[in-house]
Amino acid sequence: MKKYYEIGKISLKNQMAYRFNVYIGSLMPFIRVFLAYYLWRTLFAGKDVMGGMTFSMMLTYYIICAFLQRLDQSNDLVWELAGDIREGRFSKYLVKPVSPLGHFMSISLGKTSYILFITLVTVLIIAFIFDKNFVPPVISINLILAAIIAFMGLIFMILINYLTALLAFKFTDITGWHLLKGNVIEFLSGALMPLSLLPLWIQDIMRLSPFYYIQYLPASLYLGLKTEEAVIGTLLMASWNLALWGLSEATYRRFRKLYEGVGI
Amino acid sequence: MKAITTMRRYFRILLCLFKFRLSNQMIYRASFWTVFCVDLSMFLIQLAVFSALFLNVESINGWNKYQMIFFVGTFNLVDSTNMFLFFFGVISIPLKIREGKLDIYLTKPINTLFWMSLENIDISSCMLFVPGSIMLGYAAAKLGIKLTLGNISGYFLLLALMLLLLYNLMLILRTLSFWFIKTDALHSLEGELIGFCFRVPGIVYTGIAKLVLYVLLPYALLATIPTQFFTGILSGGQWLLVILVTLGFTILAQTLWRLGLKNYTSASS
Repeated sequence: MKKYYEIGKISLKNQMAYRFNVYIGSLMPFIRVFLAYYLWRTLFAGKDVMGGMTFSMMLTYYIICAFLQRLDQSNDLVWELAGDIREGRFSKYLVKPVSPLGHFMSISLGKTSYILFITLVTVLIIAFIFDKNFVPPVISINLILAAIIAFMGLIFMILINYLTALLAFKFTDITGWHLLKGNVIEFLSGALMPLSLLPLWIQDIMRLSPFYYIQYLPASLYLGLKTEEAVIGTLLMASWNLALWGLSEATYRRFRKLYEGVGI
Repeated sequence: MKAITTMRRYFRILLCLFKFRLSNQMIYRASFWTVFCVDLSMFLIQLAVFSALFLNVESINGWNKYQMIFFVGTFNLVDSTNMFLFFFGVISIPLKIREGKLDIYLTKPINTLFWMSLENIDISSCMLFVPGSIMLGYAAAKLGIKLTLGNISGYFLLLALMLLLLYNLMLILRTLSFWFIKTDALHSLEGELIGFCFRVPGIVYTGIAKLVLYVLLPYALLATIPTQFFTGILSGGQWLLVILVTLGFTILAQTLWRLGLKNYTSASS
């Protein structure tokens, strides 16, 4: 476990080396929230509640989603790992006593630890700017459950991104898979709009998918909504993570035989 | 006469690049379809988002559901033409600068920017014109818009201007690689802005946001302006704004590119 902790620490230090990149990236939640503000201000004209949320709740929802989305740093790591596989650099994992999944997860969580601090500052600034339209956190069981489910969502994203990168063993170029997956998850996780705006029957189906719990449920719990779904959500996410972990390991064992080690 | 000869020469080069890419892309058939599938998914998701919004509201700042579909169709045309022509060429510029590969482009008797921008044409993106055109045709029919030579040519003129503007915006960010080593976050920021201006039509912005997204970072113009023209709500002042902004960003992009080239020291030589 200590070796993975060290890998995570190195990843965190690397992030500090590219501070310009990190600071520019921290502007992302600003853009998302500001543009959402203008859209929803127009949509709320003459309306008090939409999809079970007031305008303030809606804006807070986008702030929370932007925060959670920024915490997932495994998305860019897919390009790195897929590149390693394609160009023969993956051999380093075969000669080192580390599991590729453990390495991937450590790097990702190391990056997240640094980003967490920067993004928290960003979110506080946004909350200060939108003052009247920001619903402040209330320490409650909802908030704790939201944090637990959001963390599980983060692990889920790391696992799914790892699995996507592993596809490079078989397909070499995984650009399409990765981008397609990104588009679909962005919609299904509620990052584009709260899922409560969709027809009820679609919401019922979505509750079975893990994506519902990545951003939508934690943000709803923060707002004091969907409390009754918290426990089942935690159990479902734990099951999904376990299943995906098993699938990742099985895929790795099967696909690594296809590795050609180009250039060795 | 010399201008015509030059244009003919460049057209022949473009044709060669096209043929080269076609044979290249045919080797990787799976990849050939991926860009199409990814972009199509994006537009279908966007249609789903707007459909869900219109289950809850009747209009967005005066735009009805069909104007919104027209907006998505227009963005589809802008984006797919961008992907078809210069997207993959322009995004590869920073790597060429960083690794010194720009050297080889500079030594050839051809406009460097022309070659770099158009060498990675993506033919599969052409197929996205089909869903885009269906969306436009459907929305125009529902809006009861009569097709005339005037509104069709005006629409395509504005599309061409918006493409030029998008090209310049993309190029400006890539020229920063002459001065900074790692600019990935800026590109993500650009992706975020383009993505959002595709999801949020320019008509919702007011005040400073409008100034920023119409003039300083004019991503909001891209699909909004052609849609406003075709649906008959584009004023003369907005025409002027579009022309001036496009001209301004063209001059800025060219200036930065030239300054960057003067600053270029290559990577290994």
